[in-house]
Amino acid sequence: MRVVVIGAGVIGLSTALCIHQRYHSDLQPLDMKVYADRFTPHTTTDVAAGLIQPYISPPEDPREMDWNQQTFDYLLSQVHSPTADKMGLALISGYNLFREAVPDPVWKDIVLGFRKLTPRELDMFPDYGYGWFNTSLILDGRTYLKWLTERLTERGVQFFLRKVASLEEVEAPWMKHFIITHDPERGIYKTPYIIPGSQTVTLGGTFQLGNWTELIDTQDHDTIWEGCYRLEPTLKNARLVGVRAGFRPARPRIRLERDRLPGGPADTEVIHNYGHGGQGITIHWGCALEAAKLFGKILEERKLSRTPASHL
Amino acid sequence: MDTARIAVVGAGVIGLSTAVCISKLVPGCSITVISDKFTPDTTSDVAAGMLIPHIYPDTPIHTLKRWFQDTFDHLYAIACSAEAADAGVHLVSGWQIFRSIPAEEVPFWADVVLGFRKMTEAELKKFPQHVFGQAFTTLKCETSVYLSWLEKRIKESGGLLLTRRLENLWELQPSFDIVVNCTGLGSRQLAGDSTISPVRGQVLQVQAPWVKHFIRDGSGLTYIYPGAFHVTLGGTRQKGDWNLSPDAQISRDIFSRCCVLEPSLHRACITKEKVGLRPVRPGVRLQKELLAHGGQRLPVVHHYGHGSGGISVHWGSAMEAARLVSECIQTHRTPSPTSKL
Repeated sequence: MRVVVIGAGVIGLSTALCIHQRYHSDLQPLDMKVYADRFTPHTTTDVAAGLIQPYISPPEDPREMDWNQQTFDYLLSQVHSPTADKMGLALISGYNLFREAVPDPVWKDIVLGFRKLTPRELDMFPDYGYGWFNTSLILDGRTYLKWLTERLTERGVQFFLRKVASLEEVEAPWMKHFIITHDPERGIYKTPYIIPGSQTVTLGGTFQLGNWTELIDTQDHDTIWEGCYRLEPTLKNARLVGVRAGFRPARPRIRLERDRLPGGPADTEVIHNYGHGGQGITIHWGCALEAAKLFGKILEERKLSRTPASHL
Repeated sequence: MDTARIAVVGAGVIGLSTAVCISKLVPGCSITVISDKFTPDTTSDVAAGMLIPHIYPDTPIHTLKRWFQDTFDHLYAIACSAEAADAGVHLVSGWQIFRSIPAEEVPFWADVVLGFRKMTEAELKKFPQHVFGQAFTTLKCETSVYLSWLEKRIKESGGLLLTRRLENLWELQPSFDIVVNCTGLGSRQLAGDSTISPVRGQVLQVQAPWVKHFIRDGSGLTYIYPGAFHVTLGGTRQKGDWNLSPDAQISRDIFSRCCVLEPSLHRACITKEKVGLRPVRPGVRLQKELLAHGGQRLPVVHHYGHGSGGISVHWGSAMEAARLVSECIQTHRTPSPTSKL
C-alpha cells in the first residue's frame, strides 16, 4: 500500500504519524512518503506560538469541538511524561480579555480550571472589563515538528522536497502567562496577544485576509508592538529577537473528507485534511484521528473489493 | 536632633525595605545602611521570593494578614507597572498540593492572593500522590534583582550603603541617633537574643524555561518556583544547622523529589546549589528598646526574625518599623539650648 502525505506542517506530519501508528502492522509493508515544498523550520506551523485554545465562537462544524477535545486530552496525557519537553509541550495559564461580558466558550470544560477574572485581576488591564482565566497547553510548533519528524523517520517514512500572520518574538522571561484580547467585531487574533513560549515570547495581533505578502510590514510591526506594550508595560525591557510572518490557511471550515482522483485502472483515494486557519495546533490530533478513521474505511473497502467471489 | 541620623543594620530584604519606608515616612532624616553583606550575598538572595506567607506561633494572624496584604498590594502595583522587570517582580500562577486533606482548606491569606480556588479533579490528576490542592496566582520577587532595586532607591533619596561588620551596636554611637536592627541571625550576638536560630535551607537553580507554574507541596518541603532567569527547586528545613556549604546528597534528593511532581525537570540543567539560613524565632521581633550603658543612651528599633516568611510580609512589617522609628524621633528630640540672657 503506498501512501503519500502532502504537506509537512503540523497537520501533515501528525496525520502521517497517526495513520502509521494505527495501520502499519495491518499493512506490511506500509510505504509512506511525505511530500512538501517546505519543511521545518520553514512551514507555517514553525511560525505559530502554539497555544492550545480553540476559537471563541462555536464552530460551524460540530465535529470540530470533538477534535479539539481529543487533541487536548491526548496532549494532556503526554504533558506529565518525560517526553513532554522533547515534544515542545508544557502547561501554561493565562488571561482572555474582553471589553464587555461574553458567554462562556464551548470549550470551558476542555481546558483546566476555567473561571472568570476577579475585579482585582481586571485592574491589571484597564482597557478591558471582563475576562477568563484558565490553564491550557502550549505546543511549540518548531519543536513539535522536529519531534514528529524523528518519530516518522524511526518508522522508515521518507521525506521529499517537491515546491502570514506577522509575529514578533521577544525575550521577556519574567512573563509566565498568556494574555489574549478579543474584539468580537474585529475577529480572532486581530487584537493584541502575548504568548510566552519556552525561550521567547510571541507578540501578535494581525490577521489579514487575502494578504499573500510574506515580507514584514513595518506598519504591522508598530501595530503589534504598541498594542502589546499597552497590555503589558514591562515589555519595554524586552529584547526583540525575531520577526516572522506566516499565512494561516483560513477557510470557512476545515476540509476533512475523502475524495477521488480519477484516472487509470484504479482511482487514487484522497483524504483532504486542510484549512485549519489559526487553530491548526489546537485541533491537529483530533483531525489526524479522523483522517486515520477515513484511511481505515478505505482499507475495509479494499479488502471487501478483493474478496474472491465464491464458486459454488 | 534637627536631622535624625539613622543607622539601619542589615541589608537583606528587611533592612533595605525598612530603610526605604523610613525615608518615605520621615523625609529629611539621614539614613545609612550598614552591613557586612550586601546583595547577592545576603540570606534573602537565596530565597525564591514567593509570596506565600508563613505562620509564627507568637505573631497574631490578623497582624500577619495585614502585613501580607500590604506587601502584596505594594508588589502588585509594581508588577503591573513598567518597572516590574527592573524591580524583579512578576505574577506567577500554580498549585499548592496536599497528600491528605488539610485541617484548613482555605488559609487566612486566600483572599489576598488572586483567583484562589480549590483544584479540580482534572487538575489533581497531574499529582497522583496528592488528594487535595489549591490553585491561585501570586507574586514572585526575584530577590537579587529586588534588593538591587531597593538599594538604588535608597541611594536616590540620599541614603548611604556602608560595608562593615559590627561586633556591638554601641559602635554606632555617637555617629547615629537611632539604630534599626535588621540583622536576622546576627541578633544572637548584637542583641543577645538566644531565641533566634537558623533553619537551614538548600535549593537548586535549574534551567527549565518551559515550566511556567509554581508547585508547592503543602508541607513546604518540596517546591518548584519558576523565576525570570531560572527555576528554584527546594528544599530542606534543618533546625540548628549553621552549615552554609551545599550538600551533594541533599541536592540529589531535592532534584528527585521535584521530578516526581514535574517529570519534565528530568532534562533540566542544574546551574547552581545555594544554602540560606532562615532567621527563625517564635515571632517576629518588632519593638523599641532603649539601650543604656554608663550614662549613654541608644534608642534601638528591633525588626528581625522573619524566618521562612520574610519576603512575604516584608513591606507591611517595614512600614510598621518605620512608624516605630518615627515615634523614637519624636520621643528623643534633644531639647534646644536655653538662651542665656
